[in-house]
Amino acid sequence: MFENQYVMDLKRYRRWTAPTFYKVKSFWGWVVVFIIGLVGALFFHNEDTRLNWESLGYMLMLVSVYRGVFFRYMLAGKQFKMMRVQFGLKQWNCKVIVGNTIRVYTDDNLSNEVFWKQVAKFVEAKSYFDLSVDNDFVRLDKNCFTKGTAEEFKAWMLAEHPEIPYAEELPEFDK
Amino acid sequence: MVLALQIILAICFVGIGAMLLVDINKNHKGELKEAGGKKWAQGMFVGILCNFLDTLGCGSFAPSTFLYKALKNVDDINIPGTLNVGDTFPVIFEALIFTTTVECEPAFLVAMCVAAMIGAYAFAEIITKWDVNKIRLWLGWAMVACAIIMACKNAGIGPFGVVGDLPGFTVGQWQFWVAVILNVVWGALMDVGFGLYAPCMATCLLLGCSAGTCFPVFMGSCALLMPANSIVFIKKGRYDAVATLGNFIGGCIGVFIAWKIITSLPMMVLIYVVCVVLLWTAYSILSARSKALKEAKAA
Repeated sequence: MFENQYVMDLKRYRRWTAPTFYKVKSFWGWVVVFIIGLVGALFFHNEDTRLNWESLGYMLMLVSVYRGVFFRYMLAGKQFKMMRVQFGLKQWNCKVIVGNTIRVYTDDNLSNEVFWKQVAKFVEAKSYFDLSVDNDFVRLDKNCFTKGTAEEFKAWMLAEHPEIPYAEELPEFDK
Repeated sequence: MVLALQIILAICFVGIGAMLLVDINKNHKGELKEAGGKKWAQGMFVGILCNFLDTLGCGSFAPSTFLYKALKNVDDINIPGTLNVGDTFPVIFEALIFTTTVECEPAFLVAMCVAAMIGAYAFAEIITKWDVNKIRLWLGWAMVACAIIMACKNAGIGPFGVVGDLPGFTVGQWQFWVAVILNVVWGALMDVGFGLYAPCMATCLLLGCSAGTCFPVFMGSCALLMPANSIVFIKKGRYDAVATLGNFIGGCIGVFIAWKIITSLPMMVLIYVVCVVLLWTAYSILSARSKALKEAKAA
């Protein structure tokens, strides 16, 4: 049996849910939009034409910086803050007990129980393991095992549950 | 250079459209085949009417929800997805069509959009703790006061001065900072369900912007804030394909008609139209408050 325990706070939530922006494929598309916006804004600023095309250039720059760099980070922060209001807590303690089933506790209350047949994928990132279940996942922090270790858990998963496909995390989330 | 900017815009349009059409072709083909002419007509009607109203500043979610329920052509569970997915295209179209045709001070436009973003993201936690009914009361009556003041300014009655004709403000002007701070507040209020259109429009007008300038400002602010919700709904397949396409195509037609009207109306008439929109918004906010209070009493 393995036990994993960590505190879910804003910093951790952002680190786990917001991708590294420059590793996301669409980032380079936004770079192109930014360059065209910048060149357009400067061109129309010097041309002394009507303001609307210059405005559009600046808007494209703003949109590309917002969507390409800050959006997921800001959205993650907002989501976490909304959850804080919903739960009435500033942060909460997450405990995952892996045994015959996977039990997830939030502040010592059982919040979810997952059966092994529900687990679709075993994903490994630099700092965590994910057990993917439908569109959701159970996450274990590699540095927060209170029973067993990350290495033992990985070896156990591969030996005991070979039916669950193993995969490495996508590069943009691999932190 | 204009061509380069137009190409970028076209790519954005085609990209979003293609994503939706691929999903419809993959997952909703049967739904399209089964739909009769009546359902298509209803979808287009809702799209045209509601996005026409949206372009005027009334917002489209409330009238669309009302019409979908009245016409019974979309399942309740699919209404949020249909609105989010179907309105994405007209809203982006709306923002771009006004930005490229209406004069607006670039720094002012960008600062207002950033302010709305800061409000919506940074103050979400604080604003959700406030009493919504108190906000409704204050904002509703503030909208009524704004409408009266603007109508008086337009008619040259009373001590309010005359209507402004500026394309925005520059960083050195105090109006710039007042508008930016207020847009932070309007952006934050979006988190508890208040539309940004009417308060943003009222702010710009009262500070001395021309009526036309308000449109790219509030549309840009909202288009940026539309979260990636539509992508989530497309992935989950939780939308009505016919109504969404109706919103998508009809919405752009509605936006185009409204844009033609707004840009061709004499300024005086446009300001009266804006006053009507402000009064309509005030009515919606105040009636939502009285409904909520009644429900609370009944409970």
